[in-house]
Amino acid sequence: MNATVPAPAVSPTAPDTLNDAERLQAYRRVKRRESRKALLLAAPLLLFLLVTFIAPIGTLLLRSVQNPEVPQAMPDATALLQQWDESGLPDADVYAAMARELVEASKAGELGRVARRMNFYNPAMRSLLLKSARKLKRMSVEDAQLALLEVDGRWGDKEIWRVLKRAGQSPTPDYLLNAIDRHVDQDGDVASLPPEESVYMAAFSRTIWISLSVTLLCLALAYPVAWLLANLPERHSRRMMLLVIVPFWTSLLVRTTAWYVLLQPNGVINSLLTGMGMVSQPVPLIFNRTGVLIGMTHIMLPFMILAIYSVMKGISPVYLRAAQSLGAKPLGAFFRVYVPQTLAGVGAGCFLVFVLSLGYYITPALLGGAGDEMISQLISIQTNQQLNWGLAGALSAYLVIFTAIFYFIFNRLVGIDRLRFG
Amino acid sequence: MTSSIHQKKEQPSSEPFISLTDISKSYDGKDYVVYDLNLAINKGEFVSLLGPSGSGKTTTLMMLAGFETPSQGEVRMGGKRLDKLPPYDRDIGMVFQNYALFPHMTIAQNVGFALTVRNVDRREIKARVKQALEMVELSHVANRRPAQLSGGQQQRVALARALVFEPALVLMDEPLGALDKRLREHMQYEIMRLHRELGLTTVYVTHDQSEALTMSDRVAVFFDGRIQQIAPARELYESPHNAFVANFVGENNGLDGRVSAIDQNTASLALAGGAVIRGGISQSLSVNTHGMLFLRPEQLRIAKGDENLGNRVSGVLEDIVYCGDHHRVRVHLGENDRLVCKLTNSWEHSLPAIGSKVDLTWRIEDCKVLPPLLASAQSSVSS
Repeated sequence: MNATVPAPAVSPTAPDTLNDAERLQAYRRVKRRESRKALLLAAPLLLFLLVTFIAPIGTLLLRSVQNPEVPQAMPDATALLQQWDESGLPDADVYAAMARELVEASKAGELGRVARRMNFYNPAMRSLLLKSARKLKRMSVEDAQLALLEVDGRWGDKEIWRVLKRAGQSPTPDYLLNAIDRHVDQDGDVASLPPEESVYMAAFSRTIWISLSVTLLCLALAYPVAWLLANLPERHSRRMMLLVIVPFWTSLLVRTTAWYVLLQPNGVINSLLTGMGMVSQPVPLIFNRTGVLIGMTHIMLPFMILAIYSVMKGISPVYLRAAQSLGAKPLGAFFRVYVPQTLAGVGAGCFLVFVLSLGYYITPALLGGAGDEMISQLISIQTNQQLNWGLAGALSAYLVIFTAIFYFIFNRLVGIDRLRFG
Repeated sequence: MTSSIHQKKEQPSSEPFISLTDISKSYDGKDYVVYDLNLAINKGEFVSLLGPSGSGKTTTLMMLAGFETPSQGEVRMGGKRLDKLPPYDRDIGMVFQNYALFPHMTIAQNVGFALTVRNVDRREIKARVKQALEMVELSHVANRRPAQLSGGQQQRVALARALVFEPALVLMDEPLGALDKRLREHMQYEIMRLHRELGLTTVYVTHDQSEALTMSDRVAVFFDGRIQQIAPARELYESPHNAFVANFVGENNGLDGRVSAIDQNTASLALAGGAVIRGGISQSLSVNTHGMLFLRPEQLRIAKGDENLGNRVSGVLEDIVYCGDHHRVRVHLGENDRLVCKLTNSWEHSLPAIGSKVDLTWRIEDCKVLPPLLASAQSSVSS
């Protein structure tokens, strides 16, 4: 009877032919083949992400601890400086290597990079290096120490050499410290930078504060709308949903510039207010925190509405009835029975809005004033204007770490994992 | 309405515990979901509202619960006007169709909810929740979430939650609809036990007639926004008031005909095929009007020899279906008239072959001649 039917690999009629280990192996083989297939399907996307996303971000984050400029341009001086114990001035051979490599780097055209790097440590270093190299090139150097001191007396300052030594160390913690307004002082201790140089801690806390405000504003505005969307008859809710979605589809830049026009001192809103006699002078709505909050809240609102709506849609109105039949008044029923069930959506919405706000750039740049710079604007300045990619990387690293921590906490609290959209 | 006349007979002399008087409900002022409804329920009674979907039974229940307001009429409970009270002040426990257990609360919190919102002392809540869960034999799941329970367990929790605050009335909206057949039967006995032990007054909505018949003291059959008949199960089954009830409750053979003669308690019905049948009457009929014959399939038998139990017709055997403990035999009498006959499987029956001529016989008192119902009722019944 079995002769007509080809026996399957794991056939219930032939339990003795395969032992458990073989069965397990066969099972694993099939599993492996399946996961290979899945990987193959996802490969194009993974490759794309790797090239365009993961690799650049990884490189930028690595920049925050790399310190290649000085060691590359002046290998000997850097190596010798690392052995210096910082008690007195460095040895003569350090001076000699420095003098030689200053000239060599200058000729090779690499001194500019070194000067810019050193400038981040101490703004005086740039001129010192460039001036010394220029002058050294024109003289014949016999005693390097004397020559350097003759070119500039600061070469006799221990602090200059200490900074140069730090600049030769890679990996370095200096960018990461700098990004939270700290540095390593002369005694080798981590210390705060003077207040006039401290900008990043303030920017971080401002970023968090603005993101938090936007999140709460969005929540307060979105919750009732989401409730309406979820509870109105289909016909009305679909039309209302369109009102939510259309701005969502509109370009971010367009919406921000629209606010830019609306919020001007003689823009539509202020003309309306003065025209109605509600205010005598235009209210400052732009280039300050108000403008940033208005613009960002408007742009983030759809995320919050959709996240909460997606959860509310699944909550049967029968729960409210059940609560009322058990004696809860409508408001009590709402807060005891309905609101707790929407928490997953509220959490997801808050998380989305908060995280997106943390990295916000265009809207605060256009609508904010001098005191409203968010951290991404500073990162952009370091990347594009100051060309201090190390510091930009360090600031980004903090942003990424902070977001990850925040995600972890939120996930623990409300379970974002469980959420699904649509 | 016939139903109101009927129920006045049954009422005790004292005021009923719950009364719905001349209730109508319409959403648009034109079409009535419930029309001119009168229903009285005594204390401790188990009344089922039975009917097809859209018959107004759930709307009636919702008006009792307070989630719908009657357009006309008044609802009273214990002599107090109920229809002006919001649902949370009515002191009515309700079991919903899909239990509606709060998913974010534990079972104990669910059951204790009614007490929590009433600001009952925490220690007392704990004791009463424990007692309520013991009552439904679920003490061991107190700290679980509803999603971790089976359908039957959730159903019992919903019961405990609706009963824990000792409401004056318990409403159940198709509470067993989501359970499988075996569990449903088990839960029917559970609900009956609780009803008996706690002396509850219960209104139970269902579209499952066997559920209504087995559980209730009285069953109100709804159709088209009206109560067609309200009676104990046996009366409903054995003497239906009209065509709808006869067809909806249990299986029935309905034959169209013309009332040819009436004498005292019986009427003669002339079928289109020429046969004349006699049957009992319970409502006024007049000669020469349209009438319908209602006859349960199990009352019929195949006549042997000259056997005549009062009615005897002949026809051609069209169809035999084997149904385990019985055979269903369909006999064509001529024109559009057909009778379905339920024959118990036993040694004494030898079944005739399909296509052979057979005679059927039944007692006069086992069939009824009823006035046909509204056209709309007819069409939906036959489907």
